[in-house]
Amino acid sequence: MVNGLEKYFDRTFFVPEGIICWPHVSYFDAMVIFVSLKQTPFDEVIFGLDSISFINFGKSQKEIVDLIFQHFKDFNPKQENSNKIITHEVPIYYDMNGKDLAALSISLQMDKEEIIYKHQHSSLQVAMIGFLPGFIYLKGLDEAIISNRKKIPSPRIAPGSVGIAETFTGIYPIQSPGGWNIIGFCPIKLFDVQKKPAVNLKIGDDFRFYSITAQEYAKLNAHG
Amino acid sequence: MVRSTTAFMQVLETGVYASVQDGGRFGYLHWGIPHSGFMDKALAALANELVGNPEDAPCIEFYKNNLSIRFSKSAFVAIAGIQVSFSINDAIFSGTQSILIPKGGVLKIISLPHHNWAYLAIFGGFNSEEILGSRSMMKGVTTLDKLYKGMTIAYTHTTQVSMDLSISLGKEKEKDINVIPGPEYTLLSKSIQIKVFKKPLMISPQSNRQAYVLQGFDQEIPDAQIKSGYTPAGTIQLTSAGKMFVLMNDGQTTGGYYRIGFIDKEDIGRLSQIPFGDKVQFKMIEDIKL
Repeated sequence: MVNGLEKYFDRTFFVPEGIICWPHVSYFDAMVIFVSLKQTPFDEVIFGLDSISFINFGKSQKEIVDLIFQHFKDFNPKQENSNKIITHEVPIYYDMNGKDLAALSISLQMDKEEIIYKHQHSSLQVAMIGFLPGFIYLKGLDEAIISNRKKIPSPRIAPGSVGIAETFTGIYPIQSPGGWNIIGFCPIKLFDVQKKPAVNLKIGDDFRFYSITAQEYAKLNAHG
Repeated sequence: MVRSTTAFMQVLETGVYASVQDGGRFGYLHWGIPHSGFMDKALAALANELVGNPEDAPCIEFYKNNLSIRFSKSAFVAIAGIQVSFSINDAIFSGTQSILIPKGGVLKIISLPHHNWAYLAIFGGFNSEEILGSRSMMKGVTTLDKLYKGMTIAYTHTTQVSMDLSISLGKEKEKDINVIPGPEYTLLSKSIQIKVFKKPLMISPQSNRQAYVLQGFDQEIPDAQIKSGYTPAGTIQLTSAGKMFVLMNDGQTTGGYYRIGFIDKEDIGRLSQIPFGDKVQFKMIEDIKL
């Protein structure tokens, strides 16, 4: 294997139930590995922000290592990545009256308008889906608006809420408690188990928010 | 000959928490969808076995007592729980058993003294909503995340009834829960490693199908954070504030806290049944079977 993935075999971490975890995987490799898994011999592959875990139920960890080796034997990152880059254009209603945005404005010492501008002009990319069903992590946030999570999580965050924390933007698919700083709301359902597939995003896709008004948000709101 | 038609059960009372569960929903962790499924697989399998169902057929999983259901047509069911007692109309029964509920009969769970979760299986099966290959109720996946008072669930009414069976289940002896080290265990200082599982920890009453909250450690671990990575059911998380959780079947699929250990697969069901408010002793197994 001379495709740059050898190093991950050395770092393999074993987790119970025949789970293999590769920590510290580069984003580029995660992107191309994700694409390569259209035809997957694995029962589950879980992408973290810098890790990938492989599961095959009922198989030993050695058998999974062999499967991984087989799957990636002829793997060519450059070829896998020749797929066209997809850009998702997604509406957002930036809530200028939101509490979290006001708090961010103080902690970042930046006007609310500037925070929004910097968010909207960040080159966002899909990093992973995880945590909750359909919770989307986007990377590539403008460094000037990197923030900490809220010290005390909000007990109830509305579905469609868009928050920022650390270097990520997250989109809440369902009502949930959460600690991200909410800056706006996305009216469309990016994740819907009634649809096939439930989600149309893949790791590495570009993601761009376009701003809509409160009225447009109300009209488009699919969260009910 | 088996004749089958659709019948309905109406949920009169849910108790604290009840939901339809089955063997689980597999293959969607990469969308953030946990496996869900029975908290105590062995007990649910027994309930199913008592009515002749496959072991991972859907059951109603209920917490403690007060679940109450009316059946529109006769139903052959099994109730499995350690020293569970229940009534059908005015008659009282105790112990794990299969039994015929007559047309219009009302089942009510009276008590489940020692455990958290028990199961109601039905011959023919529940016809509740199936999403992504499973009927396990899960917030953000199925339309309903649990049973609600007044709702109805379709089931298959059959005329075939095998013999009523009852099984005597004793309270299990308390044993340590085995833990294998997680990826971030070695990032803890030696003194914390020794301390973290030394004393029994209390399972907080705030625990649920997402996570069991452990109380009694509470030592701050500065900067105990990772980039969000996979957290299987059974992951023991330790936060920088010193809070500990065991992620359970409906738990988050990835997390940013230290994963200091994983509950041995064989012990997850037993852990799930330790009553909230009781203490649990974890035991680290260093030599892992790979």
